[in-house]
Amino acid sequence: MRRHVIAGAALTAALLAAGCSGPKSTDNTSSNSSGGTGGAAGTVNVYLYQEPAGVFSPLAPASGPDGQVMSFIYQGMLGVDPQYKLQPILAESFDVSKDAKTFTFHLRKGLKWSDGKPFTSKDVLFTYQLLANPKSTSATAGSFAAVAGVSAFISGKAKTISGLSAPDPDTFVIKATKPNYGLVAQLGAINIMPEHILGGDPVAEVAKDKFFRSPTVGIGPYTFVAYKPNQYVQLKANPTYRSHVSVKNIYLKPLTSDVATAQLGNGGIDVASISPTDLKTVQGLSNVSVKESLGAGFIRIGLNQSKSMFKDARVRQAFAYAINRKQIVQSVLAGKGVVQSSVFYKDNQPAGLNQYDYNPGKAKELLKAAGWDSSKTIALEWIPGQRDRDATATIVQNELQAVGVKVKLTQVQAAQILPSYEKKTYDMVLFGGGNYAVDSWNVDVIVDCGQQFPAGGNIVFFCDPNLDKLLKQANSTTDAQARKNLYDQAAVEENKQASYLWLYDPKGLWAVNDRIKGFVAGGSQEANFWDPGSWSISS
Amino acid sequence: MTAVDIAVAPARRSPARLAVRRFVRHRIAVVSVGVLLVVVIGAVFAGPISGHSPTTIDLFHIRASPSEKHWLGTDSTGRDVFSRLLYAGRVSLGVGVAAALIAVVIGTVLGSLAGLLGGWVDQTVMRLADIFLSFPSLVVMIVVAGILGPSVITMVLAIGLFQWPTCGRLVRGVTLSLREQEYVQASRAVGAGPVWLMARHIIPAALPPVSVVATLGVAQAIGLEATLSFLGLGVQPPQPSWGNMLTDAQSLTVIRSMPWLWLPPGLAVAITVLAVNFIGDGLRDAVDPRRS
Amino acid sequence: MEHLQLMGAYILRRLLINLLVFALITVAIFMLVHAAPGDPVKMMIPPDQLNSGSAAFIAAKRHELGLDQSVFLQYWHWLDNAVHGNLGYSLVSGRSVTSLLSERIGPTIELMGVGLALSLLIAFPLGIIAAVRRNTAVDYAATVVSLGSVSIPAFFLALLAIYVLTLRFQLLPSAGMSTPGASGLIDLLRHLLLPALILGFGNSGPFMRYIRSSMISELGSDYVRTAEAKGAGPIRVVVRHTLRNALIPVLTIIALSLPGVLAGAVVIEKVFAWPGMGQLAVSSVQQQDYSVIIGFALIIAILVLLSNLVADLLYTVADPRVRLR
Repeated sequence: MRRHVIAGAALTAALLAAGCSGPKSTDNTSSNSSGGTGGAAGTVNVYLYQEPAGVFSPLAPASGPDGQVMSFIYQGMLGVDPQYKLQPILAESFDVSKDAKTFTFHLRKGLKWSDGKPFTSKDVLFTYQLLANPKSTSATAGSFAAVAGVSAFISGKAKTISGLSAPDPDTFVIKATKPNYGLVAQLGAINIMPEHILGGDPVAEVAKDKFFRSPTVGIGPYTFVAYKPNQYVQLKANPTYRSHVSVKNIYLKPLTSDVATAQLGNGGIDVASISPTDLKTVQGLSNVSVKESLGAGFIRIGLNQSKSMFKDARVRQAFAYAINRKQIVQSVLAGKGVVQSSVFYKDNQPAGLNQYDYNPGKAKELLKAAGWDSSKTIALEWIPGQRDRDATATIVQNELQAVGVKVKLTQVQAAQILPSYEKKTYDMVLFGGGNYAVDSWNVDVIVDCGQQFPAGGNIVFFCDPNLDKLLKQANSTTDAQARKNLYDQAAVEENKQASYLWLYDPKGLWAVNDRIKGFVAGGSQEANFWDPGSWSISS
Repeated sequence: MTAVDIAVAPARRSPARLAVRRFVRHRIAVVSVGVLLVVVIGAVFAGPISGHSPTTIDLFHIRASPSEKHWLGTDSTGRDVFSRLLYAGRVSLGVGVAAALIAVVIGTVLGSLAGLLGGWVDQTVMRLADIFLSFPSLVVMIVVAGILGPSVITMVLAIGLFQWPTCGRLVRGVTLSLREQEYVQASRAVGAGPVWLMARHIIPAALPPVSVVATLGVAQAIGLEATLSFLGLGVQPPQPSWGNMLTDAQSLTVIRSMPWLWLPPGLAVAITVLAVNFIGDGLRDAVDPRRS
Repeated sequence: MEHLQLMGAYILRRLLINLLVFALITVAIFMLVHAAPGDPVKMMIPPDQLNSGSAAFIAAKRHELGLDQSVFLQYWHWLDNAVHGNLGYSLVSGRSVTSLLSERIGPTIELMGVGLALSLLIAFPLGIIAAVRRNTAVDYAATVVSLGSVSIPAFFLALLAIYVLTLRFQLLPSAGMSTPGASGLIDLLRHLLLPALILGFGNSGPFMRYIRSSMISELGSDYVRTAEAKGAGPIRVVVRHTLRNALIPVLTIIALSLPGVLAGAVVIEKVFAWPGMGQLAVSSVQQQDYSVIIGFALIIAILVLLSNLVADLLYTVADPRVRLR
């Protein structure tokens, strides 16, 4: 018997030893052995809400955690701050021509990559040409359709894209096919890749370059050191950055939100996004403050207007009146969000829009006037998994039921959503995301008659030619005030037509250890970090 | 001894009566029958007992702790937990019984065919049974749910497919031993087909041990459904199931400060599965006199 | 000599049958994945950008992933690659499936190993005591415990344990494999204890029942009665004689229980955020990362077939009377 016990113990010990030499690394310099006073001097520990794919590349399909890592080590000509204003980053200024077709970016002089090589417009041109070229397997090639010369290039008639040019080392020019003020917001903040490292690769091979798994050369405030799967991404301060970076090391750690909240308490994590459920717990921690910022995307329900039942605007308005969105924000989001009733971001809306305040009586009236058939059952689909959306779906079903609309809840997987758009089979779909805050032109892709899926992102097949006219006019106007007036008129028009069943705009909640100064909260848990080079640690 | 005694005595010793007596001696099993009865009644009369609807939301009282109005408090959209608990019983019990039934049907048919026909039919069926028995059902169901999407029907079918080998082997054994009996050989000589043999001889003979296996199968099925729904791959909300009521408890805040949300459904699964298992244990003692 | 030859032929036959079953399983999995709805390539692009410009990207990516070929060709390529150790690339992260699986397999083996050890540690004493004190209150209590281990769902037990040990008494951590910033054996053991204990408890029931029943039959046999007549106490007898005889059958049972232990590990890894293969499986199922799902299914198939093979071999070693048909 003793023999077997010893053998068993030896076996277990051997297994433990085998496991120990695996993913557990020992060179984690941000040791937390004191467990209470925070990380080592000069180090900031940041929570990642998901394991990154490990491909830190502007060419790769968008991935939240990878994008967040990239926001430390890459930069673009412009950047979007948490108030959704475009700020000069690598470019110190930009001009827009009177006809809103030519955009000239004036790059800062004397910038260097972290390996000492100079940063010039060559890098910018290289990046933009690569991203516009479908052969590079760039996932965002579609957004370059508005640049002049792109279609000629793709069809093979032209060798280069005429709309992208770098007339001198400090200038980069984008030309649009039509007046398109919003193009700056769409294309101005792209992360720039180093031409001197990747320029030699053939176009079809660049995306697979090992550089993107270990982008050690960069122009951001930090440079990449290592990525240990299941453990952390390690970054260090970039000595050649254009301003002084006082934080020496950054560790980004994928954890569960529970562990992150616990670690906030004992100083193991300095920066973490939190959910409304954990708000009270975190507010109770003594050395942690909670910062919030309004999100750029809205949670909404798309009503399929290729089906006749949703073509009448009164039906869509009725649905908006039927949902108590204020209470949803109170209960589901613990008050951390705003009610949304327009396709435009809150700060871009004119005053006086109809907020469709909760009014079931009015909803019933409108439904009756529109002749809604209350014996019909419609399906609400959504991808489950996020607490607030799951709760919202249930609430919407209940509240629509109360005004006589029968709703069946249907959970679907991501793979099933696209076919339902393609075949126009869905009734209602609950989803979120998008970025409608930086420039109001961004909304065009989801409401324009010409952008009906699959040509664009208008998956509800909404069509209002008046709205399109106003949007396009606004986008062709260089004068800021005139543009604002036009967008305001568009907002009023869309508000009447209720293109989507807008629900709410959730706030991003970020918990920060009080020793970190300079942190600015992003609008969601996957938002990029803004200006991390200005963070500092007070002891 | 009077004539009355003689007439009455055999009835007192009938196999069914003796089985019931042996069952009753297993006290925990008897208690479990009572417990299961409570669960079934709760599930069947869920509405009147709880007095609330499982789907009515109340945004002003979300995650409220137990009170007079809501005996077990409310969940994240203000729905009454107690009524959801009772309605969830319907799903869990339903899935359990349906899956076990499918397993019994498939197992009986395949097992008796294997026993009667022998040869390569027997070999194939046994080989199939081996494969299904050796694969961990939970893992395979996770993979299938991931590929085809979660659905209750897929789940019930899958559980049934993994449980049939136990029943199948049993029925095959019974069939093989029956085959040698004289009266069966006589029937076959007269031309009785497999279906008739199944109905007349095999099923009645196999019923006692199969009932044990089926009961244990129900217990296992309920447990599997709870686990799958907990992972989000089984019964989908808003349909309540004991498993998916526990999905909310994956946050430390909920575990610590809102035990009414996760303790009741978890206890419900544990108690029901335990009760059914004990009943199966008792049945095992009842039908097999050599074992007690 | 002849016995060894027979055994060799037997092993070969079992191996061939297992390979055939394995091949059929791979075909089944592949077909299943291709029956799945949706297009993984299109899912990589946000709907706002799914316009004509992205058609070229989609075509290029499909070609890269080989999705534009017929199913048979795809299967053939995949099989060819798999045999050479290349299980494809994750649709979510692009990393090779083999590297994903190999970095996750260590923690799962740790969890399963320690869990199995704990489960035997629970089952042996309980089983022996229950056998020795047959039909007494102790025996009934042990039966209740063993039935409890298979009836109470592991994830519920895990939540209870987290509630008591992590939240109320702050004794043990409830998630992950290590504390960020800390490392070392003690830290690992603290994180491992709770998940392994729950996994072990869940598997101890059947072991305990088996040990109990085999002890009971051994205790009734002649040599035990002889030893008892000579004055040796029952436990000493058991320890000296019966365990030696029971070793190989117990190993057989352990081998056969491995797939079940893995199933338990999958759920436990999810609840405790233990970074093993099970957690990878659940998250790849939720993200519909088909390449990883297929890779995981393969590992399961290999594990099951291997454990059956080992169990078969142990049967023949333990009991030469088994006819090696």
